[in-house]
Amino acid sequence: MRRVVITGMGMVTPLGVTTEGSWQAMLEGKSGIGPVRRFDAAGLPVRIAGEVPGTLLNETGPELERHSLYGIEAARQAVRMSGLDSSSIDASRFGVVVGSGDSRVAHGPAELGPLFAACRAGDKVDLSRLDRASEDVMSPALYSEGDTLMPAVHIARNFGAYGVNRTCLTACAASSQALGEAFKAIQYGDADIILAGGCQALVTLEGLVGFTLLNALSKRNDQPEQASRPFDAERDGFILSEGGGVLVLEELGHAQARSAGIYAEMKGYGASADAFRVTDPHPEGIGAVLCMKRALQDAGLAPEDISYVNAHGTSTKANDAVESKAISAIFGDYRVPVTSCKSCVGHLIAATGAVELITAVLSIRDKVIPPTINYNEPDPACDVEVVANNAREARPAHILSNSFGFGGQNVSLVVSEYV
Amino acid sequence: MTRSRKRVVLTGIGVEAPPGRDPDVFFDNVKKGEAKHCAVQAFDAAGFSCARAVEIRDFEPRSAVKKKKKLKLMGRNIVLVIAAANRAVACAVGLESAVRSERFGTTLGGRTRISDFSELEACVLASLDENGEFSYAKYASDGISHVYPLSMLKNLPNMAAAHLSIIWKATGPSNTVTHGASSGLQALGEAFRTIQRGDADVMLAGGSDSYINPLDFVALHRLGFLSPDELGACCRPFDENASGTLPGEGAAVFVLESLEFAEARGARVLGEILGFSEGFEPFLAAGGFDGDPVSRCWRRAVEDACLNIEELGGICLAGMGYSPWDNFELKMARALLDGNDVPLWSSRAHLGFAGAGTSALDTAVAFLSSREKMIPPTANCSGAVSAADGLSLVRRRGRPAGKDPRLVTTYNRGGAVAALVLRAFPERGRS
Repeated sequence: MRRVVITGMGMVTPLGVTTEGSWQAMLEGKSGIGPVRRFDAAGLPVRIAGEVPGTLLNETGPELERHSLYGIEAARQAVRMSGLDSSSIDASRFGVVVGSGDSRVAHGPAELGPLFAACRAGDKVDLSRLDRASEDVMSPALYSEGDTLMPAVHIARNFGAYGVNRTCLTACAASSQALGEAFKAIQYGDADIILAGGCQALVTLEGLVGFTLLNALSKRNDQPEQASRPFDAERDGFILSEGGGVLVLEELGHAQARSAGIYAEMKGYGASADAFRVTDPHPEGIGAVLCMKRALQDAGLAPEDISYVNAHGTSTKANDAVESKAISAIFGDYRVPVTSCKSCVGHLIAATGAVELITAVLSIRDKVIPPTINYNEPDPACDVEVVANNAREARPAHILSNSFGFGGQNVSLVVSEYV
Repeated sequence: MTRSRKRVVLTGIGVEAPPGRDPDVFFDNVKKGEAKHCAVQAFDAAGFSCARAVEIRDFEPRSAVKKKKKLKLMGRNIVLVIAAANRAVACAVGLESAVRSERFGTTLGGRTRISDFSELEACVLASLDENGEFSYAKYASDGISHVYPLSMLKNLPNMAAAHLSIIWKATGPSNTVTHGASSGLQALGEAFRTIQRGDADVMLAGGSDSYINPLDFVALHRLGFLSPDELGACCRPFDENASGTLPGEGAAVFVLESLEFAEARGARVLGEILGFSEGFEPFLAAGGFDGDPVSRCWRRAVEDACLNIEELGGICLAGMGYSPWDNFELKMARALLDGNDVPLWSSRAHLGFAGAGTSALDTAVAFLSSREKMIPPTANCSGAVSAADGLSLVRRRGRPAGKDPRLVTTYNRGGAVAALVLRAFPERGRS
């Protein structure tokens, strides 16, 4: 069986636009959550989010949307770290698999404002003027760049990857799923090296309001840095965030042939569906149990081999309770340490799985488990061993990382120290 | 390097598409050399640069989803795929009682859905201030009340697969490929590999989408590859007078099973997926192509199928009817065939640009082409096609095809390329 290792990584999060910057801030227990600045959210029920700070230089073209910018920047950091020169490898076996969410889109309410205003006829839109008016009012880039397919396209063009090129979007499980499918593609022999991960820029009016209406978001507007509190009894929802994370997954022999630095090994991938309801997770977490079990089986590991669980840990009442139940079902009497990076950076939706896997790799490198901040009052419904408030020294050998998507699609990954 | 050569067979196929929903009717229409394009019926498209579409005319959502309450949470893309999946599973007689839930997965091609136009209209107009400009404050006070509270759950692309998993209690692996027109074929390929590596016994795989709404008409127009009314609003794949494609819609779903599982349950096996490969062409948008490395994608699909090029019975091209892309595909065909005479065709004129359903529908055509042992014509390709000189591009009327395997090819507008090899078995039995 071909072995798949990690030879580079990069991330862009609300804590910063560099991997080390975000990671150090996370270890220090900092929060990247604050008031929404990207647009006027003053009148909305939820007014906080995790926004990527500053601006990213868009060297590839001013029309690119944020999700592509985050994906390209994360890929740039990953490729630089890996030392890869794509001209020296078989580029047709160098691919890109991304869990990419939408960015700003042409049919968002704010974007449609000028178009509908131009076609207004009383309290209706005059359809007969819509198409022609779009030529005057809407830039072509708005139609082409917001699409989920664009980040993988831009990453492939930027880095000369002419192999598999694919995007998936199982909501919050997307980038974990992309990583799992990329892992399997290399293991199976369809590729030798893949830039895999995810990106999303859903801190838009549509995204913020869409999740608000589902009662999924925290309303702790006056204390943004304390709002994301996975497993805490006072949690009231997740914080919508944005960003990107990309890892270089590579077949071991391919990495050794070019003397690449090896940071960790991909060992397991498990995916499942709750098959329950689109509105709620299964109350016993059967889908979560299934995907964790499958990931462990795939890795050839027992639960007691796992050093810690990087939880999905969104800070919603439902997810954290169900996930805790599922973790207990898998690990039994073993009080495996559990932590959630979402406490620091919020929920990056499609990008979250990749960013969290990067923290798992860094935890192996630095022998430390990142903290779950804002954990002040344990919830009896979340009976797990939370790595509370401070980073914990450890020697992680095998880490299980969970991502569970709206609709009940679930993914778990196992990443291990490379030996 | 050796890898599992677990065989993956097809035991069910279902379509919900403009040419029809019964596979025989569907293929009878696809065999026609001419596809007439009519004005879209779903909304009044007067004033649009392209007012025609390839549209499903008589679809009744309640035929697919009985409970009206459930329909509230489903856009047309979801209802179409449920309709197709219902037929696919019905084809696979005995499947539901034989399959274990944990070994049954769903992977579809999909796209984030745009909310209903009437909802957006009410919301956005209510958010305009006295100067006619969008006001975030007015949106917060007025506009937001027009947003359907569960719109996120209705519009997320993975909801189609979620609904299928709920209906058939499929708790196996589930994914949604959201990569534009190549999504359906990539979902099929991913499902193929999922079974090959042993992570499932059965997968429902395919794709679905609908571009039949005002905002998607505008989007396709602004993306630049719609055939405008002033040039005839006609999809003419590979024709030198091609002027673009047309908005379409449809769903195709297949039941994939490991041969081992299918045989153990005594399934009627309809066909087999033989090979799959993916690649990327950075200059596809401009029709550019330097031959390498993207041409390896199609070749690798054939090698994955353990076939030689000359063993192919036909190649189903995407044939969008937009010349830069059509030229790219013909160059790919030339590079692959290298003088071998394998017939090529596209059924795009009968199917339209159906987004994430596009390549799943093409796969259905390819499967039926193999079953019926004939290559349908490239409908509406009646003018000069010098770019296809030396290639056997089938047009005007279909022709018999003695060899079973079909190569199905697809791409998206960004340059992702994918190819799949399949064959059908003689009806009512497996050879």
